[in-house]
Amino acid sequence: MSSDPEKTAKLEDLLNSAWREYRGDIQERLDAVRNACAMAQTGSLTDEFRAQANSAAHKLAGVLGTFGLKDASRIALEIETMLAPGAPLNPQQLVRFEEQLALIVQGIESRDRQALE
Amino acid sequence: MSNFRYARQSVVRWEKRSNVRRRVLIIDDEADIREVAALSLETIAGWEVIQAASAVEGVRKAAEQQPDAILLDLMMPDVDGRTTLIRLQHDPLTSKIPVLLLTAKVQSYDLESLKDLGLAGVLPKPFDPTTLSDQISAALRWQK
Repeated sequence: MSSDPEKTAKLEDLLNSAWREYRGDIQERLDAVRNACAMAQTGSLTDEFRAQANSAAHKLAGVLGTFGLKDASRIALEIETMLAPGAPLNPQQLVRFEEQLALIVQGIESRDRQALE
Repeated sequence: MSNFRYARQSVVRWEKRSNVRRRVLIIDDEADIREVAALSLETIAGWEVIQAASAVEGVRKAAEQQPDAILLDLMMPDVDGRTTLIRLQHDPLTSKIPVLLLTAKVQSYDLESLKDLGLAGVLPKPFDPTTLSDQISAALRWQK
């Protein structure tokens, strides 16, 4: 961590602004993953949507971690692995998928609050 | 030359080195990641940051603006990081610029082959914005 508290505080302010600016992009990635989860539950997840959701989960992992949401980032990476082409998605995994998504949403909501403080 | 004068010149040289305003080019297709990296390097280290959203734009800006280092995302939709690295290494205008790969996924065999291509190092993604400049400095052995 930077040893200069003033610079670190300034960076935190700027990161909060950046979070608000890019929140829509983050939501789009989250929605792509959420839609894939819903489609998988009804057996209608196509390879194309699965690939899109896999990419969205990868990007979500990167951006959430960079904004300090390490747990949510790790969970997004797990979802990315679940959505890899050819990986099995059985009912038990789909339950876990949904639970993990809920944890990511919690993380994002906590970051929203932090960005508004 | 007196010892004092010699020592003073050494200090001046060190100060000049430590006050160098580095220029770093970030090539990443994700705008939010580029923005956070730029905010981090500008705020914490006082460096100048150039951004490129694609490999094509990145290779062009590297040749035109001659940054001190390039942060290159591995997974990009148009041209991936490996191909971009090869292009940078094959262009005499950019071949001497150190390239650090930003990635969450590098298998050991990939890493070795990328180092054979001239890669200077790998930085984990996601990165910590508060320490990114320290990681870059350490990887490239830059004086702080």
